[in-house]
Order: sequence, then structure tokens, then C-alpha cells
Amino acid sequence: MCKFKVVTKIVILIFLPLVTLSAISDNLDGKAIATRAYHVEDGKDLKAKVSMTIFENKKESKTRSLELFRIDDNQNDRVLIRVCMPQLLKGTTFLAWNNQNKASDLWIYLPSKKMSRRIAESAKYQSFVASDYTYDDLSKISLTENSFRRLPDSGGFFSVEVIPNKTDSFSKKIALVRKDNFIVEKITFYDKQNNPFKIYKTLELKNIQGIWTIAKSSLSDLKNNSETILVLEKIEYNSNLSKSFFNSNNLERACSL
Amino acid sequence: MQFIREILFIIALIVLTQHLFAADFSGKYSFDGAANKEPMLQQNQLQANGNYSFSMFESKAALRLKHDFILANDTEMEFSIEELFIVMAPNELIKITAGKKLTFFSKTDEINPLDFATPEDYSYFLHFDKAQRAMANNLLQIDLLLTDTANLSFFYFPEHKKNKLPAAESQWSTNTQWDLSRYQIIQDENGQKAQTAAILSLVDFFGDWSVVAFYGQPLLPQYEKVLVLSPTPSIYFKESTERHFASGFSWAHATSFFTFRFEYAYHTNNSYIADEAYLNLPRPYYQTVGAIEYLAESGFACNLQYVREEIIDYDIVISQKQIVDFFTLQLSDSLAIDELLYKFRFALPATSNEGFYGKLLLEYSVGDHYLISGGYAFFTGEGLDGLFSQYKNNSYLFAHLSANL
Repeated sequence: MCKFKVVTKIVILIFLPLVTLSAISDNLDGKAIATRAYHVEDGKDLKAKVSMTIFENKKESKTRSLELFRIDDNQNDRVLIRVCMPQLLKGTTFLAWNNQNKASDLWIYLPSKKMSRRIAESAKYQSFVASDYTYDDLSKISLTENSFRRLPDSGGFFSVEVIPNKTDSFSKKIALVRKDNFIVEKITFYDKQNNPFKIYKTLELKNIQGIWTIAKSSLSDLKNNSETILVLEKIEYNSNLSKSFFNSNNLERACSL
Repeated sequence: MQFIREILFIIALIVLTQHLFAADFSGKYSFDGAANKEPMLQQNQLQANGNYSFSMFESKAALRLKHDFILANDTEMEFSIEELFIVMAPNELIKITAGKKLTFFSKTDEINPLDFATPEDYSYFLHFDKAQRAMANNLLQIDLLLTDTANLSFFYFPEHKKNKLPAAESQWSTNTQWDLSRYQIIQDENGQKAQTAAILSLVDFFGDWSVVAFYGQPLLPQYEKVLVLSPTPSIYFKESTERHFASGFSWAHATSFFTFRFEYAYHTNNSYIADEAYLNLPRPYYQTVGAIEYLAESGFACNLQYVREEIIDYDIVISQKQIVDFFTLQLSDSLAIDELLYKFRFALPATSNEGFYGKLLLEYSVGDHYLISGGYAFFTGEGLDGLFSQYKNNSYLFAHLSANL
């Protein structure tokens, strides 16, 4: 009898958290899942070298080498991306201050013009260094600019429909989110005619300095039959990057990673 | 023989640069050609770039071999160090730059009121991008990061470099002194001039702001001949000086699709003999640019600017136009495929008989390394000394090829 109680306790101790977690998960609505995904632990700052390979009609056609720097103060994050290769684009630097309560501030430094200039937010939706990614695809899904609706779970993932509050380049996105760590696994983009036109996939997750990191991802453009694979290397979190590093008048620098 | 020597020299330089700047080396070859009824320019450029970072230092070099070939004239070979500077950043709040460097203060397109200290090469109309026309200055620059949204920079230029104007016999020599800042004020100083500048830049809720102040005067005393008629006619020399002061500000604000820019600059240029103003035409003037840029998500871009220059204490003896104002328009978009772009630039003076200027450019990227472009630049109008009409016989076809390796 005593042995039975012990076994019962063990079973309860093991399964109760899972049952509770499942119950909590079942109670989460779309916005709550998106919020958990938005606030997933990603360090105070990040620096990484990024290699980008662009495939056209399944054949490798172009490669890019970038540097990525990000700092996050829990309210606003600042992201700096610098192109190191190819030579034609080398030195081009993109700086974004993503503000929680207002539109992003964006600047671009063009080495051919040798100056940094403020640019309109619409630049976020243009092809980034001639890849399938736009700058917006590299950012987190905004909590304030979209509405979220939970769909039935798919393949063990949360499924969330993301609808932009104002006219956007897509009519909706369907995001699959992992239940264990709230990392986005897949996003399907739908055009105005409700046809899928772009698919994002997380290809490799790594635990770096205790932080789950998307080390490899891909974005496929279904209309152009092209795909861009993005790999993060030399990833370093919490290296005490200062806010002044993300100053819009301080963008003329050589690649350093 | 001299050509071969130059080629050997540049090859040696590239090899040396590659060794010195092994950390990051690149090269570029470009060809520009233009043709119309008159003999026109062909230009080959070979450029080597290097970056090297060590400890708190970052260095950069850009070396250029330029070969101008003007039909029916002699060829010219020129080797130049385009940029060569070192940056020292002992900490994140201060950055010190020394060497030969291009500097730009202005954020507007084509007409740049705040670029007080950037000499430009106007020899040919072939290069219509400012970065291609600009020439580097020797300088000492100190950048202070006051906060994460504010910068203060100081510049000291030990020597004044003049703008390079078209030769008098060139088809691009001007009949009018229309462009005050470029063709007039910066040119007419005596002797070597040292310049200083300071710029304060801020980012706030309303956008980007910068305030610029500039001052230049001769490094060494200059002497002017003075004629005295009584009691007995005599000539003697007095110390003279010429001072150029300029100040201005810029503002930029972006919304979802539009960016608004505004720049204003005020110049005074005064000459003195022993601190007394003499035969001096003060000619204070201002230059201002207002711009609206539209950027669609598709990539289509449109930029409309209004430009005004005005001499404030206008005096008929200086034989310049008191007011010059005009519009510029730039359009660009990709055609059918992302690699093929068109760009159209257009400028129209607001006053009559000045003509207008337009440039249509098609640009095609071949992979990541090659760029081919070509187009037509045209000038029209009736006036003999109009801003653009004076060049009405100079409309030309142009081609550009560059390889970046």
C-alpha cells in the first residue's frame, strides 16, 4: 500500500507539471502565445556573423556575409546590420530603432554616398541585400501592429494567425510556435488573394550561453522559386554593447567580426 | 614609356597595399565614356581599397589611378590617394580621425548647402553623383558621442583645397556665376587657408537635427598693395586677411512612406586690410533646400526638391543673379527584373530662359561584381547664359562599366 502511495506520488510529481503546462497552454489565446514568443529570452545584447546563401531555381547563385548587432532594453530594441561581402554592397549599414509605441526609426549608410540618412519605414519591406528576406522578416512580429487568433494546434505546435491592423504586403501570416520554448518554427505568408507566397522555417536551434538561438533558418519565395538560407556564426550574447554603438551618426565602420 | 611606368607603379602599390591591408582588401575598375558632337571624355579608373583594424585603431586607404582620354586632345594620367586616414577610438565615447578623408555634412541630394568644407571636381559633367565629384581634405576630426542620440564633431583642415572648375576652353566652362557656393565664394580667397568646423547632431521624437558652424581664414598673413596719392603718390603693403564664416542647420523626419528634409546655410565672406574692410563686397548669401522623398514598398522612389540661393545685400556691381531658384526631381524603380533599374533626374529653374537639365540612366547589375549603366543627359533652353541653356549643345550619351573584386 505504502509502495503504491510512493509510486502514485512519483507519477503525480512527474505528470502534474505536464498536465498543468498543457492546461496553461490550452488556455493561451493567440495574443498570449505571440507575446510569449516576442518576449522569449534572447539576452541583453547579441552580436553574430551571418552568412546568407541565395538559391535561385534550387541552384546556389549568391552568397552574402553580414554582421548583426542587437541591443534590447525590454522596451525598444536597436538592430544594426552591416554588409561585409560582396564588394559591391560592402559597408552598407542598416540601423533600426524598433520602438514599442511608435513606428521604427530607420537609417541607412551607403558607402557610395559616404553618409548615413534617415529613410522611410517602407524600406523595411524591400528586399534586403537582394535576398528573399526583407528587413521586416528579420524582425520580431510586432505585437501592436497585428491582431492574433489562435488556430487548432498543428503537428504539436501552437498555430497562430497573424493579421496586420493596417494594409501590409501580406494579408495574413500563419505562425507555428514551439510549445516548449515559444520559438517560432514556421511562418507561412499569404498574399492579398489569400495564396501562400513566402515560407519561413527554423532549420536549426542551438543553446548558446543558456539561450535558445535560431542558428539556421530559411525563407522561400514561392513565386520566384528562390530560397535564402541564413546561418548565424560566432554568436555572442551579453557582451555589454552600449547604446552609443547604435548611434545613427556612427555607422561608418569596417567589419570587425 | 611614362604610361608603362605608371602601370608598374600602381601594380606595385596594389601588391604593397594587399600586403599591408591583408585584413580587408578590395579593388575596383571602372570605365566612363561620354559622346556627343564635340570631343568628349573617356575615363578609366583603377582603385584599390584597404581596411585594417588593430587594437583601438582602424585604418583605411583608397588609392586611385585615373586615366583620362579626351578625344582630339592629349591623354592624362593621374595617380592620387583618394583617402588615407587612421581612426583611433580609445573608448566608445570618443573617436579621433587623422589623414585625408572625404567629409559630408549635408543630407540632401545633389545640392548640399551644408557641405562647406568639401571641395568638388566640376571638370566634367560626367560624374553627377556628389561622392564621385568630391575631393578629400587633410583633416583632424574629433567625434564625441555625448549621449546615444547626440554627437558633437570638430574638424580642423590645415589647408584649403579649391574646387576644380572646368578649364576656360572647356565646353563645360560657365558663362554665369549662378552657383554661389560652388563657383564663387569658396574660390576667391588669397593664399592658403585653414578651416575649422563643428557639427552637433541630435535625434529626437521630431527627427534628425544637425547644426553646423564653419570658419576659414588664411593660415599665414597676406599682404595687399595699397596706393596712396597724397601727399606724395606711393605704394606700400598692409597685412590683409579674408575670412569666411558659414553656419546652417539640417532637419529630417520620416513617416511610413515619406521622408522630409530641410537644410539652410548662411555664408559671409569678408576681406580686410589691417582690420579695416576695404573694397569689400560682403555678399552674404543663403542657400536652402526643401525635399520630399517617397519610397514605396515595391522600391519605387521619388524625390522632389526646391532649391533657393539669394544674395542678401545685393549690389549690381557684382554682376551675379540675386536670386536663383529651381526644382529637382529624381525617380527610380526596377524594370521587370530586380537587377535592371532606371533612374531619372530632372532640374528646372523657376526663372525663365534658364533651360532645364535631365538625365536618364539604365543600370544593370551582373551578379554581385559587375555593374553596367548607360543613358542620355540633355540640356535645353534658349538663353545664352541660362543656368542649363548655356550647355544646350553639350547633351551627351554616356556609358559606365565597373568591376568590383
